[in-house]
Amino acid sequence: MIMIAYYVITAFLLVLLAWNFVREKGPRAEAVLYLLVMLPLLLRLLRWK
Amino acid sequence: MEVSEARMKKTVLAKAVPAAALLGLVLWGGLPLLRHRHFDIPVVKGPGVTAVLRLSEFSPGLKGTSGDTNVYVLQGRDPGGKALIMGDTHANEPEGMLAAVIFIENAIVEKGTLYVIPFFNNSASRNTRPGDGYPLYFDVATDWGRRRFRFGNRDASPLDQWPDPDVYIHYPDRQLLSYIDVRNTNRTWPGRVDGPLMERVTFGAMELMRREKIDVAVDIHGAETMFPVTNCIVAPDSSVKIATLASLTVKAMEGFENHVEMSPSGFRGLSHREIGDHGPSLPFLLEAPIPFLDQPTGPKTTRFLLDGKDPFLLSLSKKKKLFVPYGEDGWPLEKRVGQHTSVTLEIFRQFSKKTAARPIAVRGVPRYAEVVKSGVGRFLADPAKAAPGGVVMN
Amino acid sequence: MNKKTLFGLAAAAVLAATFLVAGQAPPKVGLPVLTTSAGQSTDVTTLNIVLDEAGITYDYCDVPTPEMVADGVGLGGRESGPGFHVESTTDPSKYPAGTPYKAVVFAIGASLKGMGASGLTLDSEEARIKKVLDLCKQKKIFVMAVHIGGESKRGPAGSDNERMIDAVAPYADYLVVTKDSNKDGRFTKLAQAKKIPLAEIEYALGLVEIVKQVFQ
Repeated sequence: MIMIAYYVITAFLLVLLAWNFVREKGPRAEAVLYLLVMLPLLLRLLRWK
Repeated sequence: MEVSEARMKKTVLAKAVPAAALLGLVLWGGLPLLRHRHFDIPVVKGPGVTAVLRLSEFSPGLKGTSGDTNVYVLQGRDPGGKALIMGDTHANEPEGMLAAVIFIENAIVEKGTLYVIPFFNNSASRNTRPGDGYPLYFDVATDWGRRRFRFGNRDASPLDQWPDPDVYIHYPDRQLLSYIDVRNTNRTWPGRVDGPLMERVTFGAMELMRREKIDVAVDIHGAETMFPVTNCIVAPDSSVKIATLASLTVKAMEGFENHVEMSPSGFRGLSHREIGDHGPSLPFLLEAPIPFLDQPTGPKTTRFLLDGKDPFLLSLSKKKKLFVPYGEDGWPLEKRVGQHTSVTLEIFRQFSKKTAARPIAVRGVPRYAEVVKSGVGRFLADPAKAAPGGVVMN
Repeated sequence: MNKKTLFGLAAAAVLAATFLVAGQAPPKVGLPVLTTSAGQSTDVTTLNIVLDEAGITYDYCDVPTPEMVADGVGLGGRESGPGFHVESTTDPSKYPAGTPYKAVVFAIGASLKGMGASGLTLDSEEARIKKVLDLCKQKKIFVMAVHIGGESKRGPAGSDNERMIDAVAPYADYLVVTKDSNKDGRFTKLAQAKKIPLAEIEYALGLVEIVKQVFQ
């Protein structure tokens, strides 16, 4: 049950980050940082790691 | 208008390129982990195997999860005592799993019954520790080629049990343990039927021991050379006599050291403590030194995993910082596995001497000297040559 | 010849070799016997298990005082408590409570953890042992000292383990040590200087045959 909640949170954060990444108008470095933060969340959501 | 369109194109490109790079990184890093998680290991049913059960038959909460695992039953010709052998309780200590596989593929039980669980923490055996640079697989050379095994981690995969609590409150003693130990099947004994997945794993084994009236339970591990509880048998009061006699006998007869450590009663969740406290079996936890697990070593390569040779440990040994003798030869896999098969057989022999009504007699399993001489691979069967239906995937 | 027979033969060979190393026949003392520790290491557990294996009955107390030893079999009815352990397999029909001990066996080996659990320090353990040994001399109780912990129960001169050896070994009537406990020849020299019979055994398991000879 808690596990499902955590997956929902992960997915939510991932969407949030992806949205911010698309909308980001500042320096390119910031956009890359969004991507890096997304990495572990993406791996967990895919259930690869 | 034209200018802003060009700029937009540039921005899209500036984002698409790193996004594609990220995807590439995910695939490159993630796919090997995914493959490792789904890589199954064949085990050949040896001449003694009479049935293969699933642990979920004893703990229904494991059904359909990656906590479920195979239980190989080797019923003897004559009745007698019963023993349980567990490997991969910690899946980064492969000597236990290999000793268990050697029993499954070679043992002929003359008296009594053996239950063997080679991948006790199946989830952990499909996990890894990227931060330590763990290899995902290791190969054991055999007479017919190489046999590949998964190299796992100490703890179950968070994909199977997530999230971890801040503190693990042990059941039933309520002792506060480290959060990570909630995924460690040598802290979650005796477990409960509806607890976290790893508690359901240990509960399954407890139920197996209670229902089948197992006399002797052997949990096989490896431990760092810099950790004092290494190269030993850990036993509580109930099994210390058999452990001591086994230790004295292997030293005299087979020439290797294996001292006895008492199981502390104040430290909960360990197999050598809870198995005896919550069931009918005499517990024994076997440790052999595995230099690969030590911290101050060179790279964690598969070669190091197998031969146990490391220059840094060698220099520490000269400074007397290790708890076992350590020389140029390192601590090769053969010694570790051979020690485990010998000590296990010796425990059975000593138990049978003490409990004449419930003897456990096993033949066909190599002892220390044979494994050291011929290597572990000599005692591993070729799955390609097994009879139809003679291979079980794990 | 099957494997079991081979194993049995190997066992016999090792035990035979043990006697060759031991050189002389062990003294005959007889029962009842009290086992105890000098230094509170777990080697005394091994000693008790060896006696069990040899079929020798014994009383065991980890920290006996001279008064308890003087009380003979049953140790005056004292019972185990925190930091104090008593065990008895002595047959009360053969040796009723109070029968004087014919021998006391010390397992030498220091463990700070063990001493701590019994509320002892190295100094108080030394003092206690000395009093027990004095009583044994006075009552003519045979003192046997064993050191079977190997190199891990040895150390530089003056260390915990060496102090325990100094406390017991020179006053023993019979010394039994494993080869790896005596690598530096310390026990050999000590036995020669004090004219104490010494048996050096290849492995701790060899103690089974020795205690059979001494106590049966």
